[in-house]
Amino acid sequence: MSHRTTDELPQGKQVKRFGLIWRIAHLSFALSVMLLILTGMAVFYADTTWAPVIMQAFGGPKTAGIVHRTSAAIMLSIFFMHLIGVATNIARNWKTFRWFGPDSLVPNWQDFRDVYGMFRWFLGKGPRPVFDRWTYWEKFDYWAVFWGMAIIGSTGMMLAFPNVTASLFPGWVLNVATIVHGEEAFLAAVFLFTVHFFNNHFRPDKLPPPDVVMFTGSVAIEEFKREHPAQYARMVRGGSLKKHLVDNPPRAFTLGSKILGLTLIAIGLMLLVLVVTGFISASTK
Amino acid sequence: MPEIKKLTGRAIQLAAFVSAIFLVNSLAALPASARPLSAAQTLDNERCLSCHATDQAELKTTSAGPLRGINRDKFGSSVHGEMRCIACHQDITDAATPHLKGAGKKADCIACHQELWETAKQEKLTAEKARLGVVVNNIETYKNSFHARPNKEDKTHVNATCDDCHDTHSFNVPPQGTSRRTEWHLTIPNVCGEKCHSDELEEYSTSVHGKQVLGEHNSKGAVCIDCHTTHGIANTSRDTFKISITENCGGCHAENLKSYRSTYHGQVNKLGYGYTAKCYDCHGSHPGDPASKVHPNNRLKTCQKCHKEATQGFVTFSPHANTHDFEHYPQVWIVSRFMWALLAWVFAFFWLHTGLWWYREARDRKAHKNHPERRKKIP
Ligand code: HEC
Ligand code: HEC
Ligand code: HEC
Ligand code: HEC
Ligand code: HEC
Ligand code: HEC
Repeated sequence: MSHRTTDELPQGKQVKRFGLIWRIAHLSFALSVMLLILTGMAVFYADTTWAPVIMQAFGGPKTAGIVHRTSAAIMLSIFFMHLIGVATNIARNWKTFRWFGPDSLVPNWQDFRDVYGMFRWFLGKGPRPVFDRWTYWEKFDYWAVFWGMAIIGSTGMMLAFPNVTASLFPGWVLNVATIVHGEEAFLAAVFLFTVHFFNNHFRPDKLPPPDVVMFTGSVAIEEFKREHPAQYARMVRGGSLKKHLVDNPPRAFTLGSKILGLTLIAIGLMLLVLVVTGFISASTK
Repeated sequence: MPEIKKLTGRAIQLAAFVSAIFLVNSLAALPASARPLSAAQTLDNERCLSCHATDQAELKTTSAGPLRGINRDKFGSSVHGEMRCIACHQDITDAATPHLKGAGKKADCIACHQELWETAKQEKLTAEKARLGVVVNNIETYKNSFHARPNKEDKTHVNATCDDCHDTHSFNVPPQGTSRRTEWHLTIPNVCGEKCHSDELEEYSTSVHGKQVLGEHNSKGAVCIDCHTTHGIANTSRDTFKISITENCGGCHAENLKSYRSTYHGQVNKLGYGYTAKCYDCHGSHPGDPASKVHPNNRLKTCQKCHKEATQGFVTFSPHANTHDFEHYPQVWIVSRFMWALLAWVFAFFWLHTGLWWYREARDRKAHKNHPERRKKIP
């Protein structure tokens, strides 16, 4: 009856999930990606009525282009710093690091079993799977950024430096880069503002939004236990739970995080509306 | 009774006034030549035409150029054929050489037609006189155009008046859709080119469009106004022109406009900014061989007009690539299919995942099943 012991929850404590650097990285990612989407989609959907308004607000495509490139630079540099961070971290723990272990973001067989289990649960054919530290959708979000960075980032660089591109490749590469850049950006935008928002903020268990764990860094212990029961059990068994417990964040900090979260969600949903109207008007032309 | 008195008083006053004017007028006229005439009834069209018709000898003028004669038939069949000369030429009050100009207004399409339209509106005849509305519309458009602005060299004149393009005396643009309209349409390059834009006309006549119109009499080819618009002609260095010109080419070259609009050049243009490449930056506007600027041998130079450092690959870039023409743009075709498939799969999977999740979690919550204890045993 090991899970009996787990019910003695320490009061007024939260479980730490994201360190400060990760949270700053996430916030800058969120802000820069929104700026990228806004300035990019205004060009991608130039035919819409809203696009010229956005362009004028930015003072023209030239300034919007600078904003776009600056945001891209911020995003890429965070991404590369993160790569370095992860690499050193792994190098330091090279001997003990378990690539496919529960603390690794590398997909493993358990993830596929979890997907299967989730669908069984959806259909009422089985229990809800219990998750360890990283769920498969969190892993997907993480690797989607890698993919997006690689695809959108590289094509974006090609388009930003056409002279270099055209000295190395034939011209059709620029044609292809334009298509890939736009479509992949569409994918990223719609994915973030539907699937990512739903998984983390709009599921019945998460209502009302926002979930602020990415801003405060820690999560109420009850919720942690509900969302990551396997990790919780692992911590209790290994006696490392205490090490991860932190005090409830100050009220003002939580409130600020909620306001920030709601603002970002609202902007995201507005961007979603713009992109969807753009998509509809482009496909009905 | 007092009314009659008043009226007779008025009549006497009027008679005295008229005779005074008559006297002054005839006195003033006397030294020039013996002409007893004065009243409007003798200034009929026939009288004016006896000197001004094309079938008469050329008139001697004190001003610089010769006077344009008036073709009787053309005037008769023009939209103003029923009007009297002096209805428009209110400043002409005699039939002498040279005319002693009165204080009346000079002929002016704009003022007269704006008044006509106001009257039509008051009389609620706008439907019957819809053509007069067209005239006023064109006036309004014209007023903001390049032609309505003062000429750079001679500030007292505008660049072009209605009369410069439409000989007022024969003005008769045939109704839309008639073969006469088509005939008239084919003469437009000459209207623009003969008096004012002879260099452009010359270039134009060697262009694809000019050859179609002037050579083959193909009314589907572009004449000046198809690209420049008619009454709203804008200065070509202005953004208004740079933005509308692509739409104007696109009126005939729809496919090319569509593919252009899917490139950065076209998107920025659509947003209302004129600095990216427009059709004519690559294809030229009037010049002879349309292929010359986009011919593979010259293309890099054309790109380098804007992209100073452009490298060899620019030549094989397709500014009109589209996603449905496999034959011409195979790479674009393949990549776009791949992207669409990727999008379709990702969204199909995750939206299904999301929808089902919502459904199940909501049901479980209702049944209070989401408490950890109720779940499967924790490993
Ligand atoms: C006897 C011949 C004669 C008759 C009749 C005549 N004109 Fe003229 N008209 C002339 C000559 C000659 C000129 C050129 C005067 C000059 O350049 O100094 C002229 C000039 C004009 C001009 C140009 C004036 C300008 O603005 O520079 C108008 C308009 C005109 N006539 C209208 C009329 C009208 C309307 C009538 C009929 C009422 C008429 N004319 C009858 C001989 C005639
Ligand atoms: C619908 C109005 C209208 C009517 C009717 C009209 N004219 Fe004119 N006419 C004009 C206008 C407008 C001009 C150009 C005025 C200008 O350039 O200032 C003009 C110019 C002229 C000129 C000067 C031509 C030149 O080369 O500068 C003459 C001469 C003339 N008209 C004679 C006549 C005569 C004769 C008649 C009658 C048969 C007549 N007009 C009827 C509107 C009219
Ligand atoms: C002095 C007044 C006057 C001037 C100046 C004048 N017009 Fe007119 N115009 C008329 C009148 C009157 C009619 C006939 C209106 C009607 O049908 O009720 C008319 C008719 C027309 C029509 C035909 C409308 C229809 O019913 O089909 C056109 C087009 C036109 N004018 C163009 C012009 C142009 C272009 C000019 C200058 C070059 C001009 N007009 C100068 C008075 C004038
Ligand atoms: C730069 C030359 C130019 C000037 C200036 C100009 N027009 Fe025109 N106008 C044209 C041409 C060319 C057409 C024939 C348009 C077509 O075929 O679509 C035309 C056509 C018209 C028509 C017939 C439209 C129709 O749909 O049937 C009217 C009416 C007209 N113009 C009135 C005016 C008036 C009034 C003015 C002065 C305010 C004026 N135009 C000034 C060139 C000019
Ligand atoms: C196929 C479309 C098209 C046709 C037809 C056309 N033009 Fe143009 N025109 C243009 C464009 C585009 C420009 C701007 C060129 C530039 O800025 O390089 C232009 C420029 C001009 C200019 C400005 C001076 C210059 O060369 O930059 C004039 C004047 C002109 N056109 C007159 C005419 C005349 C007159 C005709 C008819 C004989 C005509 N155009 C026919 C497209 C056209
Ligand atoms: C009124 C209709 C019309 C307009 C407006 C028009 N064009 Fe054209 N254009 C034609 C026609 C008709 C042809 C001849 C097509 C053919 O020969 O098959 C043509 C041919 C061409 C060609 C040669 C195509 C080839 O296959 O070789 C070019 C390039 C071109 N146009 C560019 C332009 C540009 C640039 C503009 C605007 C500045 C323009 N056109 C506006 C009707 C138009």
